[in-house]
Amino acid sequence: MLNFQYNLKELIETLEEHGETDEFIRDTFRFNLLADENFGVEEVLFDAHISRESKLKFLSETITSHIGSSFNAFLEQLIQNDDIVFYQLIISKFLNLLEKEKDCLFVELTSAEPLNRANLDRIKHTLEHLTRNSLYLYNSTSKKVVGGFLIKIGERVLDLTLQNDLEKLKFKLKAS
Amino acid sequence: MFTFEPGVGIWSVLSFLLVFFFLQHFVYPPMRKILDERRKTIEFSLEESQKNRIEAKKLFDQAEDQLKGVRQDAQQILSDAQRRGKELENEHQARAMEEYRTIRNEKQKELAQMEKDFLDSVENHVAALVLQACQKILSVDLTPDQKEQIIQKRIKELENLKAI
Repeated sequence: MLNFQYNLKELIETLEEHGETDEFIRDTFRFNLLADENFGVEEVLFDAHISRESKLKFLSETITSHIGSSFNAFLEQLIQNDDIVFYQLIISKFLNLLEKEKDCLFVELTSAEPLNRANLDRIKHTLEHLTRNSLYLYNSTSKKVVGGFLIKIGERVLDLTLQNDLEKLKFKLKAS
Repeated sequence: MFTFEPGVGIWSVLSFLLVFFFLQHFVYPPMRKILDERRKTIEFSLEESQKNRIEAKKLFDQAEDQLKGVRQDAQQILSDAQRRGKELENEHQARAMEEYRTIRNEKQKELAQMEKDFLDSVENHVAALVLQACQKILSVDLTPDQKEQIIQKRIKELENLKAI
């Protein structure tokens, strides 16, 4: 369905045309989470020494079922062109471009369980106030988050999880 | 009996005078000349000998001085060599001591670092175990209400932020 050679504007236009932008962005965050939580995603896909066929097989067996068709096609094309190792750079540029196009920020909110609409609205409103920017808030879930939530705005991370408190406690214990 | 005959006496005196004259004029001068030459040769030889003796004495003195100098030089060289040897020995000893101290300090530092690493590792391991245990307890034991309370608390913390 997608036909692009990292013409990110064309990719955005195509996604908009098919109304798949939201799903694509959600998949980028989901993929980041999968890569973060599952051993093998980064080790196999981002290793330049592993063959395309192995990467494609790994993609179809491990990741395809968790992401939409557009994002899957995007990843397949990166693998076919041996550019999957530049995934982070490409996706970062894509999100930056999309943020400029839509004049908004894409914020990933990771929690243990999906937050209810009221809480999401409160968080979105607060973040819009803090960043002075309109934003899209994507709520993803991760078994690594025990309590609270984690907010990622581009390169910035705001850790409001219980793990963060425990880590602080650990440092205090070590320091004492 | 002894008798004096004037004729014999006159002839004897004349013969003596004749022989004396002959010797005085024809024998003694060449003999004197030969003797003078011989004397001069001997005197010259004696002078030469004296000169040679003085020269030899001078050379001997010089040689003796030189020998003395050589002995002094040799003694100096020997002293220098001994002093240098002592200095080298001291230097080597000092260097060996320095190396020993450096190695000992390095090993002490390594040991201290290893001890610190070990303690850090144990501390980290214990802290990680405590953390894991806390996380497991929290993930299992938190009720939906507690989870919601935590979320509300975090949202309030977020709302209280001035900037991010």
